[in-house]
Amino acid sequence: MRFDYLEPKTTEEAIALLTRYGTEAKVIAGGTDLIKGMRQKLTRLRDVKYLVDITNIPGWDYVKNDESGLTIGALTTLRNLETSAELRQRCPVISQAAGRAGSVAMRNVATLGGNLCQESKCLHYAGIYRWAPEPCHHGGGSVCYAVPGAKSCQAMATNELAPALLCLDSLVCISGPAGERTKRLEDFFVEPGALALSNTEILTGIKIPVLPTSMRQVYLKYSYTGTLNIPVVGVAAVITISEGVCSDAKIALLGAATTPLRAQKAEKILRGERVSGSTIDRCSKVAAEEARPVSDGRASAQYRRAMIKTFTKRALTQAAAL
Amino acid sequence: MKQVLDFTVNGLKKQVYVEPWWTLDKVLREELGLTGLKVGCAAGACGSCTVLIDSKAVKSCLYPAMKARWRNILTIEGLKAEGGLHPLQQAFMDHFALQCGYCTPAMILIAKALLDENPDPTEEEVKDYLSGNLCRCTGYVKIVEAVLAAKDKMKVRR
Amino acid sequence: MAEYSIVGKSVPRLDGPEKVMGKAKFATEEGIGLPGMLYGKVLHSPYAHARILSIDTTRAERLPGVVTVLTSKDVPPVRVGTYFLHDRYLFCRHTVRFIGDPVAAVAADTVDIAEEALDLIKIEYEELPAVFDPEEAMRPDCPAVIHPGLRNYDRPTYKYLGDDLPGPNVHTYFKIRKGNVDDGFSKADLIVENRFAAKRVVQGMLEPYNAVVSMGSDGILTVWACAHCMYNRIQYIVSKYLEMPRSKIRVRSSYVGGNFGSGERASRYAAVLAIKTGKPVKVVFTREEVFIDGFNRLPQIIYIKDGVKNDGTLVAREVRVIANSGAYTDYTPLVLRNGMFCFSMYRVPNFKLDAYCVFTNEPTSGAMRGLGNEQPINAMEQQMDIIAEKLGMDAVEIRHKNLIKEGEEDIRGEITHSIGVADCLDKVAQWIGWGKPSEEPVAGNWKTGKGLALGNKYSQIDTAAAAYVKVHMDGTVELRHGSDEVGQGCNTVLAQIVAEQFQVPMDKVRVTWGDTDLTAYDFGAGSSGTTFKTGNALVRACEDAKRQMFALAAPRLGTDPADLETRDGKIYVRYSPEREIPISELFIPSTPGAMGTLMLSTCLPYGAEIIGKGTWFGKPSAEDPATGQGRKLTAFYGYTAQAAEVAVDMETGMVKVLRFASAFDMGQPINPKLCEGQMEGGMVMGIGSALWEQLVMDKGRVLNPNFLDYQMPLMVNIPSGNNAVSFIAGVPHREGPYGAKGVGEAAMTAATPAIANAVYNAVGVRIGQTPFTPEDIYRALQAKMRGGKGNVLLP
Repeated sequence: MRFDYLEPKTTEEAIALLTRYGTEAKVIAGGTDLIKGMRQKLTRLRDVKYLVDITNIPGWDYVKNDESGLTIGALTTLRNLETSAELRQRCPVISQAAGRAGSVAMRNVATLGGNLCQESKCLHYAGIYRWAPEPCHHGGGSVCYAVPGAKSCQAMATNELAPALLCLDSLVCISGPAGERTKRLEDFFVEPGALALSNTEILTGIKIPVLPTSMRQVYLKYSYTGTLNIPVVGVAAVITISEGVCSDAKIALLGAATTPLRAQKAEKILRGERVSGSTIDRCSKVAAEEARPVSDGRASAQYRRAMIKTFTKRALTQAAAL
Repeated sequence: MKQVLDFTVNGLKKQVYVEPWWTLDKVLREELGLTGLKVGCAAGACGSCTVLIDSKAVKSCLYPAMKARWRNILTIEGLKAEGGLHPLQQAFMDHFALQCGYCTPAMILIAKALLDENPDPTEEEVKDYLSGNLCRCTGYVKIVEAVLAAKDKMKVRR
Repeated sequence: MAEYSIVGKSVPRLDGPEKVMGKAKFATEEGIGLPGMLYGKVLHSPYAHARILSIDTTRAERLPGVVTVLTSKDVPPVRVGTYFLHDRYLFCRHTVRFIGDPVAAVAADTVDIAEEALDLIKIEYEELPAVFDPEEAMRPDCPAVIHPGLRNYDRPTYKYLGDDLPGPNVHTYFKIRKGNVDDGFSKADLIVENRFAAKRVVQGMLEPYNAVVSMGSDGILTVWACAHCMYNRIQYIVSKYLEMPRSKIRVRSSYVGGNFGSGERASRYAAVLAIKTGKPVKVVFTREEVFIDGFNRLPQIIYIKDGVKNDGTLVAREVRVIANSGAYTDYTPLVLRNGMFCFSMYRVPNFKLDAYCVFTNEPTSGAMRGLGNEQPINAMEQQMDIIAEKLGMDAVEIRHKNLIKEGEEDIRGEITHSIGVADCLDKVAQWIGWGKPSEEPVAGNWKTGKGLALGNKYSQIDTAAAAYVKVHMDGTVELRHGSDEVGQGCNTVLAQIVAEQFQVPMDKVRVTWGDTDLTAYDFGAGSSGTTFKTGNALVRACEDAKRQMFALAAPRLGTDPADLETRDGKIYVRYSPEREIPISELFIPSTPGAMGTLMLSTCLPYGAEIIGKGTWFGKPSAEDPATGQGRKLTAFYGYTAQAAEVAVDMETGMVKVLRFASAFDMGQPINPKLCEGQMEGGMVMGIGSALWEQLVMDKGRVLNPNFLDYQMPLMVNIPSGNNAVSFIAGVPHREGPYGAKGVGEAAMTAATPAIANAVYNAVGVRIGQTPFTPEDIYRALQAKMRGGKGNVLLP
């Protein structure tokens, strides 16, 4: 693993470097995902020769709440998200999600932006360097080793923060050569590893234009041994209840599809209904049916589907009880 | 080409020349001889490489050395207290909270990070905070015991 | 238990201060800053089974900074396989046999250059059919024959490995025959048959394989390695691969970051690179390499058939084991044979066992804590519970009924001595509240349950240890041993033995280890045997040293050497203790009548130094290859009982271990706290092996060769504080030093079945395979709900 380490001081400098070096350059924030991936010789990182460290650019490490909504800078560490009094007060589901990622040491360094832009965690993809002459879909090839015959990458999404942010109708803020733009978070994840972000663009923050009025927010991560693991499934639920009736429901899932998934059909089941054990049950069932999990060596598709039902139900039940 | 890295390690200002692709674990171990931190997996999982950077626990095997510029690093070698060993070090010895010792410096530092943030954690909070550090020998039982014992000693002293 | 002044006391670990200060040296510290040192890297095969057609190293050799690139043509064509069956070349010659099989190595100025050079080595392969399932591989018509030349391989030890191997991929066939099982089954009131299996599991020690080797200008090769079995597994292997005499190979080691049987892989590559380059070479395996090209735990498929009377008495047991050796043997012939010792714990008048070890194109298996015993114990101890339930008997009662007792002959023909397992069983049963429901508060979707199991681990007798004790002038006693300090605390324990022998405090004892130039042969830290073997060798060395001391002192004290004792650095007359001299006075100034500085040049008048030497040489009896019977086949057995209280989440299959008790018969514990440490470590390794740990395999590929996806227990997963307890219930062994036996391995043998039995007690499902993950338990629960068996599901 060899590379040059570049430390731009401004956004413009960073973008200029990315433009100059093209596919040989990669943005690094905390580095916990990137350095690990480069050591694993992940296909997409093998030609990277320049790391563009954006952590010296001022102004991206913050949580700010004003008339335009809540903005979180992309360089805010997961630990700061976890412990931020502002977030715990306004959007606790984000703090919960951040606190379930990895370990304390990892969260001290890992960032919001890095979490959303992380590399695929597919077990087959990570091992290709060792045994496969032909790259898989994610590596630019045309074969899938996890799901034989699949015509596109099938890796389950694992970005721990995504479900919470999806439930809050977040926007991503992007800076690039053409200036700044925003995009809905659900449009940001196109397919595994394909983000709506070009090589010369940088994710600078998240915007939540309309703060949730409801504090009924829950994020549940399911993994076998602890937060250190990649989740089997993850469920975020944000619901608004007035006089026993659910006026709004947002449910988002990890381990359910190749991108973080808003369970919109499930949400429809709950919206406008009296919140009860049976509505929650029906809603969870639909969430499980909406999901498109695969068997990937971490868990089987059927088990994932069953766990989506179970944890959606638990998240909704806990959220309703708040 | 090597680049200069200025940082503070265990209270001393240091200047070393590092290749841009080096991670902090290599610089501390091989340039500065601070071999208390260990490399167990080089993938940020086992935690044997834990050091404190600006008082925060970090797995140094994934931390680019270049990021350490101007920062304050604490390794196990810099851990001291009045009159010798830090209460955590003493507690680990007294409670037999180590066997092979490979995870021990890191385990002590992550425990210090915990107690610095939260001087009175419950048993569950100790286990949760330290779960980013693996130990294969002890089965963790005596480590939990040692951290709780050190906590009590340190509470008295504060 | 007898009372001693230091033996039996939990004295602080000698290496505690070094380790908490981060000063303790491991092999990974060696070579740092060494001028001219090169870094070596190994290239591994990407195919599970293939012929090597061509290797082109020219581009790699031309990379600036690369000093040498080696393949099979550059090394002697010697096959070495630990010491049972020599089946493995240093670099594959014509065939690669698993994904990960080494084919080349590079030495370069930096690690990064060495890694880049690996990518520049061009190898053409022709794929061959591969086999991954051992039951398929053992068939006589299996299309993939992994070692066609097997019959011609050198087999230096264990020649009893059968001639009647059922297929070309079977390398070991081991039998036990006692009584007549057909007769036994005909007399049984109930026959229970089941199949158990286990996935591959790894040792998971935190220090990766690493070594620094340099050839001295005096022709002595120094090998610094993270050693386990310095003599057997490092010196022997390097000597054979390089065709160098062992007297020219000096192995050095210091503290080892855990081993659990994993052996060592890097030193042989560092050695060959050091010789070719003439420079010191450091090879550090990545964590992935340790997973893939290490020695994982031998997976066994176990068919067990038991016949019992209605009162629970076992009358017959028939076992068939098919083990998946992976591509090479390493330790597996012994793992297979010795794994079957565990059945000795119960009284079974009619016993038949057939165990086969089969090559497949999977990563190589070898020795791991328990040496093949945990899986049969898992089978046996779940089987006991299954039988108990069918008979309406209590699980504790049925075990007591069938446990063998002191003085009885076991299924191997040995006379049992020092067996404390019954007491262990009672202790854990009592602590866990056997027979009473769980009092742990759990939410609605969780169900609690309790389970227990017994375990044991023999220790090898067909081995030896030799040690020295040097008495310094000031009365300090220095022990020199050839075993390995891998974390178990052997340095402290052995120092306690020596301190007890010389009646000196611990700070008057020094330990020298980790240098084959200074120590004598020792089997190494394996088979839970260092306390017993090396301890015994040291006791003899102490006696020898005292003989020398007393011979020197007797004339000075005007008495017979047989009347003398030593304590606190002095030699005194037993019946008249005021007559004493300090040890220092045995050393005489070489310039008589000298004063001042000349007084420093003191020496013994004869014999050079007070160095005691002792050897413990195990004397195994003969073993009948047709029946596996022998009078003395083991040094001793350590016994354990473990009990678990678990909670199972009915909706997810997740298992939480709420409370856990271990009890152990290790004979006389030398250091009780260190024994507890073994029990606790074993508990957690056993929990991992039961619930989460497995190499996820896909056509010979290891999909999870890292510590995130290979899920070892984390601190949050284990019971702690008042919820975990370790009982010491030792029965002294007449041949052990101070009656001590050993602890290390048995400590994990009962944990898996204890948890399995607890899960069954909680939710009524039992899974025949380990690990039984949450997903497995969930499926079993679903099957049970749909009216299916939910019991002993096939993997």
